[in-house]
Amino acid sequence: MSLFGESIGVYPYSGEPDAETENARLVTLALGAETFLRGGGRLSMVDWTGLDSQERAVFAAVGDKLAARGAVRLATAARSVMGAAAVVAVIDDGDELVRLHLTSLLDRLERRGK
Amino acid sequence: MAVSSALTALKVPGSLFFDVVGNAGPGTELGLVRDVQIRVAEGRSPIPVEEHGIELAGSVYLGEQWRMAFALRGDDADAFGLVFKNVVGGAVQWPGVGKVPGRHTAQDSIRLEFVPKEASHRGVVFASAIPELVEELEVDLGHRVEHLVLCTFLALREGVTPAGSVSWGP
Repeated sequence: MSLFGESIGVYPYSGEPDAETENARLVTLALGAETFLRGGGRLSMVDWTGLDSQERAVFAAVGDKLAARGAVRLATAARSVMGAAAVVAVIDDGDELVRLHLTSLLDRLERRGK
Repeated sequence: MAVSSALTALKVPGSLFFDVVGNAGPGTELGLVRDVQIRVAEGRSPIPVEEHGIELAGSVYLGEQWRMAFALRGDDADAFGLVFKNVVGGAVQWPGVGKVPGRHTAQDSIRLEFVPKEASHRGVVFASAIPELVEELEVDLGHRVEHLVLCTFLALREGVTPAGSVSWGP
């Protein structure tokens, strides 16, 4: 049993696993891996050799997902000012995004000539 | 506490209320004010000089209008339904005949009041404000999503009577 599996409470099978147990195990592994990587964790070669094949596959898939998410955020921020504000909302609690939307609303009314 | 402008008074934590024009208020709460922007517009009527064609001799000052955009959270959907009605010819009689947001006129105006959370802060009263647009905004904050309602109102800065004016401060 790997240190990673032990840390998230996922243990080797005892007996023949059913589909539901297998799914629950994969979901738990994926959530644990995502939490670890998003928290800034990095796997060393020693860590890697201690993982079983299923755990390695989960880490690879979650790593791809997080990389894709980062690329989407970069593209969204680069596309427009509103997109950048949406990405930054995580940091400034959405202040800039709200300000831009209010400005856009007032601009729209002025263009209507009301 | 003296305040130099309504926008200064609106920047403290507080809620937005609405009521029928002429009532003492504050009325029904619309929501907690998250952010606000005000644009001031002067109304002027041009005085053309006929003998010179389209030249203008001057203009008459008609007053000042405030167009306000609020971002509200913790909103009351039923209250918004009363102010920004989008049902034409509905059974609800107050504050006027149902109209699509953005098509309201002076007869649809409401009394708007900003009530600050702290008693020491001054409130702002818009005695006659016309509701304009309303839309929703979802802000992804990472660990949660914040739901806001953005709404705009048009208010006259000064009316024929004090009851039709915007008032704030001491």
